[in-house]
Amino acid sequence: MQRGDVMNRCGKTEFLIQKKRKSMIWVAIGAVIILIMYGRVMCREVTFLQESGNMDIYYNADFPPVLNGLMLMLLLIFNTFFLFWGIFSIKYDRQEMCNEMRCITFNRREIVKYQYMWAGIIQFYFLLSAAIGYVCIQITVDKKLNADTGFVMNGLIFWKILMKVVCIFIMAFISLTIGRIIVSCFKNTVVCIAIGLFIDQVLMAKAWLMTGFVYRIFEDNKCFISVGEYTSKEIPVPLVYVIAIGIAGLLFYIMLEIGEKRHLSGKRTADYKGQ
Amino acid sequence: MIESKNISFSYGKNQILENVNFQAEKGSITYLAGINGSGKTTWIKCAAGLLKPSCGEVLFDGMPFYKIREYFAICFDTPPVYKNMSCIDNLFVLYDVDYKEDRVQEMLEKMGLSNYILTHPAGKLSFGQRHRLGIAGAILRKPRYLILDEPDLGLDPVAWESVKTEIMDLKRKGTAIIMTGQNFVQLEEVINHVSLLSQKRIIADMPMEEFKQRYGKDEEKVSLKQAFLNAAG
Repeated sequence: MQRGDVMNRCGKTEFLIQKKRKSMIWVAIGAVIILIMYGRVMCREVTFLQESGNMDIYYNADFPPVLNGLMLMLLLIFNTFFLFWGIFSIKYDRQEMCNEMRCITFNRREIVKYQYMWAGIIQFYFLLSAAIGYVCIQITVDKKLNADTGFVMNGLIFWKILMKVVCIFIMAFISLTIGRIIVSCFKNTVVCIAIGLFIDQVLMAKAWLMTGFVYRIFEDNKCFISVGEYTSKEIPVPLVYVIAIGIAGLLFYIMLEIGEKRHLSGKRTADYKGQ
Repeated sequence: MIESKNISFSYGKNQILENVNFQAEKGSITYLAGINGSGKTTWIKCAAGLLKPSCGEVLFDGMPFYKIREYFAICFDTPPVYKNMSCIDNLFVLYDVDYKEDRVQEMLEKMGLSNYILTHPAGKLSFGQRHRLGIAGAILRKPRYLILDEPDLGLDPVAWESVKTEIMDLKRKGTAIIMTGQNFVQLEEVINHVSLLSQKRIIADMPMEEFKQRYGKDEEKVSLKQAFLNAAG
């Protein structure tokens, strides 16, 4: 065994573990299918409403509302999905003290780092899959919609999409970390799921951060769609990102300092400070 | 050398270990003896960095655990496995052992873990096979410091012979080994030092022959089991 590349091996082991969580992969695929179906239905309804003269769409910045709808759905689905991914990924790792054995073999901080790294890659993968799937289905419908509304795609749209994706990514990261914290604090699975649902539905979904992001997603068109009001219109949009990243960082720190200590057989770890 | 220096540990108000001091020398096998619930596994968890002692520390050639992690190996009495992963993946994920290496395949073959068994999910293994996998994983790390928690558990005589050969080989190479267990006949074949944990403390820490003489009550040929019963009783 080559001792020098132990840390690279840690990343490989984490990949193997992520790969084996087959049940979660199926849940993700299910979520993407639901999303695509939702997209199709939504688009059909919008087209119908337009053609029947019951709905007018005005664009403020050359941005199609169907794409905003997709972003909102991604935000909601990813928010919930990664909260539970956080819970179940730790549950899987905890089976029969496997987490303890890995913390003996590898550096615990490295394990956590690679867990987040792979979770990030998975987030990106699902985001990309959903977007590609959605776009493929929408191409023909969008053509018609665009013809009706005079929408012309320009270079700015990609920047806007990127910023919206960043919102979703940050929310998914926060949800993942919250899931990990929940399961680190409560060992019972049912309790974890109940708390996860509570946080997801009551705290997260209604939080100013979420509504801030929803506002960010819908700010560039003037559809009459009911979304949560931006908490304070005085707060500039870049500050929302800074605060969100700050919260994500803070949660990550909490995860390392408090959550992960309990993750190890519910006790403090001896070598924690030294690592 | 593994050195336990004044290790104390308690679960809440329940004190389990109190100033536990002993040493396991390089190239020797120390038997950490004690009745059920005496704190052996708790000490092992303290040594492996899974529990933080309320005071004291376990040093490995004068260094804390996190500095020697890659030279350390452990096999728990019930070795953990990811049930839906193959044994090969489990070896890699839990013990950082790569099956592609020839020596790994040879050793697993010797331990009675055939290629057929290794490619199947670890959840389907019998307890004995799982234990063999855990011991193989620990030994294959080529450790300088090895802790085996009840290595004889669930092993048939043939498997024990293979394990014994590998352990003796590591001992010859200078590994400091600590073992626990209750099968005195099998343990007596390999150990050369006894540290007896009783009532939260180490009450005897000496070479096995001396231990047998001291607690043998002047009998000519006293067994390790009898000496243990006399000492722990």
